Amino acid sequence: MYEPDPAVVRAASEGDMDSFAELVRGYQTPVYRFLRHFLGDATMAEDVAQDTFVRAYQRLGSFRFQSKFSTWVFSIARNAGVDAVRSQGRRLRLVERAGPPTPSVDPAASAEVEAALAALEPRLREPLLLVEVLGLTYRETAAVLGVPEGTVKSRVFHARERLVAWFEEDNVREV
Amino acid sequence: MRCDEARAVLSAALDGEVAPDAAAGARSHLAGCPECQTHIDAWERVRRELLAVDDRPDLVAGVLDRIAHQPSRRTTVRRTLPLVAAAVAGLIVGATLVSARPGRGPDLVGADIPRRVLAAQSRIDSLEAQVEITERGWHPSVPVRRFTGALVYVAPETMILHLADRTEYPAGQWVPNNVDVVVDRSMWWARGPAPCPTEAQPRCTPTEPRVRVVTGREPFAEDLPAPLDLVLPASGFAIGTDALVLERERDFDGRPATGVVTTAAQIGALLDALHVAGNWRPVPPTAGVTLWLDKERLVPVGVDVDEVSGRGAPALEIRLRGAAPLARPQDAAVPTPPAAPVVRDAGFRDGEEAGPTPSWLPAGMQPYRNGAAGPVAAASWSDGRAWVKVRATEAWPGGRLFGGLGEIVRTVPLPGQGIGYVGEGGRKVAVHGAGVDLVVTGSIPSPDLVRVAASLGVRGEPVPSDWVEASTATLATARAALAPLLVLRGSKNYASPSIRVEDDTVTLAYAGAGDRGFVLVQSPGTALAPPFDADVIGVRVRGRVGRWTPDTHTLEWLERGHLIEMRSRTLRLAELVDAAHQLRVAR
Repeated sequence: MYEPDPAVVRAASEGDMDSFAELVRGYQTPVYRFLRHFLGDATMAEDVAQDTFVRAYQRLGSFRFQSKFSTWVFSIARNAGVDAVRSQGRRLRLVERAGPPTPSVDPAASAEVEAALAALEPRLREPLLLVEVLGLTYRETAAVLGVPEGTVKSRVFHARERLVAWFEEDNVREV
Repeated sequence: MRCDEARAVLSAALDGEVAPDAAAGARSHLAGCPECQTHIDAWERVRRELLAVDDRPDLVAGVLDRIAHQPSRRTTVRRTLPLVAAAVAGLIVGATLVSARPGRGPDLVGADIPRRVLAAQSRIDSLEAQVEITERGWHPSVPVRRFTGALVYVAPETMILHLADRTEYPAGQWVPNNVDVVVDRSMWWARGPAPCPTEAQPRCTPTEPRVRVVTGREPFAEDLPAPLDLVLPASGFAIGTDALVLERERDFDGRPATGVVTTAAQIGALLDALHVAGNWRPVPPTAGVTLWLDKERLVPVGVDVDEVSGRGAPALEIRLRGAAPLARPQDAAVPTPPAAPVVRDAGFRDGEEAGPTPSWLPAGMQPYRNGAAGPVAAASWSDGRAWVKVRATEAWPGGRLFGGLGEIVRTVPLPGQGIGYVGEGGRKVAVHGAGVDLVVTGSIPSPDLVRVAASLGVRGEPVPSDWVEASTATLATARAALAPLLVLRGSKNYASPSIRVEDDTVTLAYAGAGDRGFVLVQSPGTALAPPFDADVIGVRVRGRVGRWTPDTHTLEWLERGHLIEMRSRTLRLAELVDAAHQLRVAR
């Protein structure tokens, strides 16, 4: 995973927009991919990805170089995603979260995976995406989520098992 | 091996988190189990699909546009709030544990501790000590690791830490966690094993240590903990009020020491300094800590970090033995940096233009290092131990305050000079002036930082309406926006809150000792939103049934037609509940 030169981070935190643009370019793909899978909606993912980088810009001054920059950005993306889900829930005053979305009828394999992911509980979906899409280690994922490393290991495994079970239950075609 | 056991190992192996030999048994199971092979094939196909999203938008233009034109978009601020708990980290006030003893007043001796710690920074101009560290639970195959070494500190900005790993590792490719960290004015370097997940030890640690060398550092730069924090937890006590002190003293090398009960968040800077290089067991900010301070010098002579379970021997024990001032601090030998593949130049050059100069400084402060890094000038002063720094720029693009004050700040009057903004729990004071933006920081108490800022000759103006901090509000404004409004009353453990009002949502950020703090969000509501996570816990709070979500560190409940949320990554649930009990209606 891309790790920027600390001088670029420092320059960005001092207001150098060229340096900040370099950081956005370096992380926009994994951040968008993560949010796309996490939120299940391309438009919302793009909006929240933008939000992620605006937040990062606002907080650059508080980045202390004591963790990897990538982990720091992904933490912001994860929280922005969580907030998007939460605020949506609050706005709609839902009494209950909607159940798992209806599986897509799109025969494309990616749509199948999206549907299976949407059926996963967020607590399982999140660590799986952090590991699979962002390439974080279990330790880094644990730091992002604020849970023990062992919990990450177990949740990633259970997420995979649930996905397979979902495919089998639904008797879907090959993904 | 059962199928589920084998697949659990193979799942971790797929992520590179298991050594090949450790996965050998699972792989041999796989060779004879078609069902498991079907699972693994599906996992791998999912991985390919997840990485195959191809409608990737280019976000750069949109992000820059949002920063330039609508940084305070209302929804944005509300949605950033869950992270504010983390942003509140780095805040001050010398207070401590309230959780276990609700309603109990400060210990009389404890009330004196922060003041004495801060005063001590002006008495310590050098120190050398032997360091002993015992760490438990880092890896299942290595239950205990032991380190010995030496620490040298010369005020204000030199530190030499050397740790040698004395652990007897089991057979295998374990790499000793030998660590060096050297800070000397404009340069720092660190050498230690490259970071590697514990679960992938020992195979993933390269045998060659990783060396980092940085030159051209600004004075008291934030890329490393300040050396002072390693010998004196000044930043954890910078606006001190009271501390919970153990009644029984303890002897360290024949000298009496006072035990201060706190959590890792209060001494984060000290622990961070130890963890600059090498592989260590992570210490969560809520871990219980007993900080042993030499009764006379207030130097930490011992740190005990509890097991998260609260049982058994400490997870981490740090001992400083034979701590004494150097006979000739000026002669302290600073090791030269080892050869490094890349030497990073942080860009600061001494001796260049230094920006506005204060007409008032605490007694004894003399010019220390001045200079500039690009468009940012920095000037610093020190009495040889404590320090103050002013950073200024005429090229700030705006959108938020210059200086990294964090998400939520509060305004402060600068006598005769307009207003300033206080952030990082009082450790930073920012001024937005006509054509110049500056920030004052240092190891001195917050009121003194404000006084320095007011003496710079720059009139502080309110930030433009489209800056993030424009929604910073007073308590009166917040009360008008949402009534009845709950505020913390009667606790000496937190500073006055930073307040933000967004429509009918009021956010108050309370800074505690060290990195401790919490965010309180209040908005109209008659029902809790559906739980985001299945791991929620019902909690009795203020006589009502509330909800605790461990993953987001959020405590929520309904009260008088409002939805109340308290968030903190540095306080335990019991501490948050206790703080909740101290909330009163603002008058």
